[in-house]
Amino acid sequence: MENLQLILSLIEGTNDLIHSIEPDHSFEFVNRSWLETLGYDDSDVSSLHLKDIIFPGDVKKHSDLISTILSGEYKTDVKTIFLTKDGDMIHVEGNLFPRREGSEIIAATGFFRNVTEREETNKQLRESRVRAEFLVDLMVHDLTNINQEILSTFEVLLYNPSFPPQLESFVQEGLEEVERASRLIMNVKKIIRLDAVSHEQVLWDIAEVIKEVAKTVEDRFSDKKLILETNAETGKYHIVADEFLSDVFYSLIHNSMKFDTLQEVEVEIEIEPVKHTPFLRIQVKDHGPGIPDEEKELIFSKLSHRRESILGFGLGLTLVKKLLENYGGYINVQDRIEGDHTKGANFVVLLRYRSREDMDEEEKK
Amino acid sequence: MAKVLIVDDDIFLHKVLERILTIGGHQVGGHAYNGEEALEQFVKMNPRPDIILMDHRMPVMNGATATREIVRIDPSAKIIFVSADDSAYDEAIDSGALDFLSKPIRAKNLFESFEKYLKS
Repeated sequence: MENLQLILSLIEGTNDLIHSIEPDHSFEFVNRSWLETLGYDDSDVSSLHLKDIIFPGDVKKHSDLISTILSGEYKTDVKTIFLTKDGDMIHVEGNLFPRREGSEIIAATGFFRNVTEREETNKQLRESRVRAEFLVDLMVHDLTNINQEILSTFEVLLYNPSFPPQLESFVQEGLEEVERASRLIMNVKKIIRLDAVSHEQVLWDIAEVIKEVAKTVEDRFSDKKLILETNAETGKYHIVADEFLSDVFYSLIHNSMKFDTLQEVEVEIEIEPVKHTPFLRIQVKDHGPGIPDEEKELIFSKLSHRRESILGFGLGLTLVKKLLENYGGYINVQDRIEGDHTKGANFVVLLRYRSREDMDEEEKK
Repeated sequence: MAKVLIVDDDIFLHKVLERILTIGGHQVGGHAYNGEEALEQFVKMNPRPDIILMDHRMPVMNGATATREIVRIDPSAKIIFVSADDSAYDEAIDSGALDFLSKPIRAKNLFESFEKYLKS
């Protein structure tokens, strides 16, 4: 008797909506929360049917579900929409199971949680995201066209034989700034896209990625030469990642080129597996001005945009960190020569990899 | 020297691209401001352009659709995409474009692409 009292107090005390539906779709039982949420009184229940409280578009599906339960099945993670007496929609999710008396199934009992607020929040989030994507997309498209026009105008000036040579460096600086603005715009777009869309994961040969990126970066600096030393070997290590993997190395090598004041910029990229782990350690070492200890964490932080803009990194390293997190990887920055940041930076990237041996093994299988 | 058809909905971009192309020793043979106009221009132009510089996102008809139609008419048409929309890369190449240059482009990259595809 005490147990029965306990069960009844739990059923009446919970905020979950509980009902028990008979084979003719009338209600055998509903709890207090069910009545309060749907706006009915005890006296209404005997005249109600399932179709009265289920959103019209869901009635057929839910009726079929009840039939399944009455034949003895259990269903979890059931999602449907209840209608209140006033016609408001209540999003619920829960479980349905058969109620037996002896060996006979006499009703389908459901425990449901009201998730309307969560659904509403999700809907608002989705709408906000779509709006943000649209605006970013519009901004990216139009600003990129404007940048193209400025950049080409600068180039027309440079190619003009009568353009004063003493002004060329100003125009070159202008060109680089336009390209910097374009990269910032593209990085914003990529960060937004990373969250919004799932991207196809393919196998990348890390040596080839680095080689291609190095060429692209060098092309961006007409007055500098990239001296890249690397032990990266084509065909040796592969990374499973999306199309943005090259952005990781683009950003790192580009920063090295940008901040090194010499005409010939030395960058070393060392690749080695981390023993007893699934990770490949990729160290990108440069001879630039380095990063002081107090800045080492800040340069990757999304929350330090003002700081980053002082340092001149834009959103590049924020994107790098986000990409690596998506790949289950990691990045930090150290001094190239430990204890002396002025001798250059060492960006240490950990990425999950597959070796040639792993891939041969997989092919055999 | 190549005869070029420029397809982009941004009017000012036509001017700067034309200046750049002229500096590179090329000649602009036509201007179109959406995919449909590109198609009309391509059919009218005699001789046909050596290269078509094609934007993707344009009103009336986008670059990929226009490219598909142009390549259907003339499978030897050489179309290079110049677009701010990187996500259109696959669609552009699938539709028959030879190359995809992301805006903003440098003249050097444009001419390298010309050189590569004019030879082929």
